[in-house]
Amino acid sequence: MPLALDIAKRAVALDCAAFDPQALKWAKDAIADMIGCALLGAETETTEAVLSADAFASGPCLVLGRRRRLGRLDAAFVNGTSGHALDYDDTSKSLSGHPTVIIVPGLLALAETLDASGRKFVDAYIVGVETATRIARGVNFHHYEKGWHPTATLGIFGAAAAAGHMLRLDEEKLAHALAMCTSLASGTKANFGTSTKPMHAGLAARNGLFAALMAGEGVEASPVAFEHAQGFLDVFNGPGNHDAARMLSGWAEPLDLLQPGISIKKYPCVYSVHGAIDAAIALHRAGGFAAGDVSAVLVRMHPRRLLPHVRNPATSALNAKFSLPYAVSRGLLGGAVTLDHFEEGALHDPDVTRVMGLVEMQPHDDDANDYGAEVRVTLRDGRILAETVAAPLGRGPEVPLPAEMLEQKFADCARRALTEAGTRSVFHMLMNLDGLASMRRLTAEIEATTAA
Amino acid sequence: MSFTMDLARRANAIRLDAVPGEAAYVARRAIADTIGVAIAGSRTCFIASLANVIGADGAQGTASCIGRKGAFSVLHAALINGTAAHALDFDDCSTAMAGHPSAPVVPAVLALAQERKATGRAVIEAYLAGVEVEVRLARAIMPHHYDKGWHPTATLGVFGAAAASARLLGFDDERMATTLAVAVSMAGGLKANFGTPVKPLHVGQAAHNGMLAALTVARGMSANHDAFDHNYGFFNVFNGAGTFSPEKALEDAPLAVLEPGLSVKQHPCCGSAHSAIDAAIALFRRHGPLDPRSIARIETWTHERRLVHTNRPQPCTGLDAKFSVQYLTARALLGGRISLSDFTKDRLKDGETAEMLGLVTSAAHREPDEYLGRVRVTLKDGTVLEEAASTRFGRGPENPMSDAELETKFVDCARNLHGEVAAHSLFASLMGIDHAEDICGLMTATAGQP
Repeated sequence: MPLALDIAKRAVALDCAAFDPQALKWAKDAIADMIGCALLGAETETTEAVLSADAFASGPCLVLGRRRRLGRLDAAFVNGTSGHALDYDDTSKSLSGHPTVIIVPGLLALAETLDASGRKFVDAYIVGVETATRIARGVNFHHYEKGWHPTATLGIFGAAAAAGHMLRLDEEKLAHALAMCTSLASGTKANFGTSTKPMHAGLAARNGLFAALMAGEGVEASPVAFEHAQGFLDVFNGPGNHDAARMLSGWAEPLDLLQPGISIKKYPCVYSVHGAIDAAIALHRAGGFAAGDVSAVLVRMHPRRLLPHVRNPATSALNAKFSLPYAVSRGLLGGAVTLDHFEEGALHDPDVTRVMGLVEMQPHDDDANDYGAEVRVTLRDGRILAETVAAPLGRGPEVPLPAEMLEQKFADCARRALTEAGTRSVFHMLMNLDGLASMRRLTAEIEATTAA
Repeated sequence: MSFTMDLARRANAIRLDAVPGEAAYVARRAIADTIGVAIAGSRTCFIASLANVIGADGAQGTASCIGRKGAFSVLHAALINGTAAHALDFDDCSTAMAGHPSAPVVPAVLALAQERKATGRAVIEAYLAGVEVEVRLARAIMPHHYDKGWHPTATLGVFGAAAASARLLGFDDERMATTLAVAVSMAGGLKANFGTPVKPLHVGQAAHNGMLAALTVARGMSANHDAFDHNYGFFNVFNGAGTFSPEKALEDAPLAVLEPGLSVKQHPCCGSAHSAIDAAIALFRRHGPLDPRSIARIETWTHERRLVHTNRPQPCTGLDAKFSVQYLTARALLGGRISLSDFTKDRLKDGETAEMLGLVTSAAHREPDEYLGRVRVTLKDGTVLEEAASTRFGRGPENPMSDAELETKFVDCARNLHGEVAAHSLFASLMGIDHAEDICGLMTATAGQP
């Protein structure tokens, strides 16, 4: 059987009624998180650049964070770009990239035009994640190491499968959509560090939806576009650098969302330091000290988490995002690390700066503990307060993200675009998405509460 | 200077008043030819599917769709027109590019030019810059790029569309370079999808994406100027270490449209059969239409590499017939030409055609000229008529199509939609595009009859 059809059969065969409630929960969290990121990204220069007023015709689909509606494909492109504009969206180990930002934008545009229910949306999202991550298993991690940007070049298959699910494509048509994606996939890591990187996400979101819509119209692609000598596997990865069998095994046993799952970023700074921030915030919450009481701070992490750029103190808005001492100081003294803290004006708080200067970093040698952290604070009266986390909260199913932390992040992001009341009501809708009768109600609420 | 910047400077340096007049002439013909094949291509069913996908929403804008009423956004016009231009594989070729240079570039240029009311001269300048970038990049990465499985019309076409769009937007070298670097992230298209509608769709995507790159840069998009030669950049990731030579893209050379020039496809069918068709047309011209009842046998010889996919003695469909050297020879002997109407169901069932086709046998030769075709007709009275022709995939600089032949092709493409008279008049307007104050009227005219 051609590989595209073999994959499509598995995607179509997924039994949505049997999805584990835990998977639905993760899906809702991830969708909410992505929408928060897009609301945050809506006002960035990157989004401004893609939302070129001359290029897009208006249509029925909302641009998140803007009072503007575009056609399906263009809305998917813009929302995908804004969702990844700050690199604050979730990640998947299997994908070696960001799964949700590719899948949600096209699906949202499609759901608006089809008036789909929230449950249908969540189901389609899960189908998309499962398809992208299964395909990824056959080509990673060579695919990533070679220079492709898997968020785009593999995420596109998830976008197509999710849209295909919502369009009720049969397995033949879904196979054509996936095969078409092999010719629409693009994005290399050479453009990392520029605003073209988030645009990769927008393009893949748009192209995945596009392939599903074209296949839905009956347009066909080569059935052997993956395994052909001039097809996806050999051309993108190179002969001998892929294993198609890995694409076909393990579907929904369990879902990739549950094993290994996705990680949700809670803090708008480099992921390496998130474990230390968690520990610092826990110490703050336990209480019993004021800023002036701190006389020493020791952070112990795996050596790969303590690379030179992380050890520097924060001196600018840009390097603050990589500074462990700054983030730990913020967590200890304020109990939160938010977007505001990375703006130029926030960098000169005297207490934060003093404690930042006290932070010492010590690598440990436990290779099994690669993202955990220990923070030990010595107070002037000699007391020692210590907290250890095994892994950053939200890193996956074994350390789920507490609901209030997700809401805190969402609010931090969404309030840039929405009213306070809108931030709350939209989050509430997102947490109950599988019960929502129409996705149009969600976008209508977002649009109505968009501040600008 | 980065590779990207060097390439950008060359793309920006092309000025119509400083290039040989021949270059503008080639460009005018290529633009007219691309529009012609796009008009014919706009009738294929997958273009209707594409228009459905686009047209369901967001179809209002300022740009015309070839062969289609209504106004579209510039991006969607480029997508649809680019796909239509390659839908019949009847558009021009460049041996240096190993692909079709005009199809990704012309639709992007024309859509933007229509929106911005640009002059015909600006269109020609942008077109020349686009093709120059495609062919220069090709020199750096061929033949490995093609052999590996990339579809250069798409993977290079996106840079042609990007550069041409950037020219039309009046970018300086810095922004031209950024546009090309953004396009690195948009290149795609696999040969595995040849033989399906996804192949022409690659071209529409290239036109759409190249234009999108320029439009986003106009609004501040950033990209890495090392995107071509970066370790994770275009050369290394698409081609692989040791299979490219960037310096070849930057050598001083005449304009690509002049050297090696473009090949225009005269016959709407597989290029591998063109030499046999031209030999049969020569027989027709010398002896007039032949009556199959007077013929004992017809033999053709084409190179083995050309025959392998065109050896189809009894084609069943129009698409099949485009790859049948036997059918194409029979039709050329009967009509003295090959036109789009030779691939209709009626023509395939036509009695005289079937009789002629039954007489044709085809064999392979291994002569040094891979593009040589021979046709020998033996009459029942023993007379032997024979002609030979050497034709590449199209008519290039060494045996160019005359303007009259180009017009015949154009009218053949546009007749059904526009009618004979309007088709001739549209061709004349396109050939005079360099005098157009703006090209809006021209583009509206390409939409054709309601």
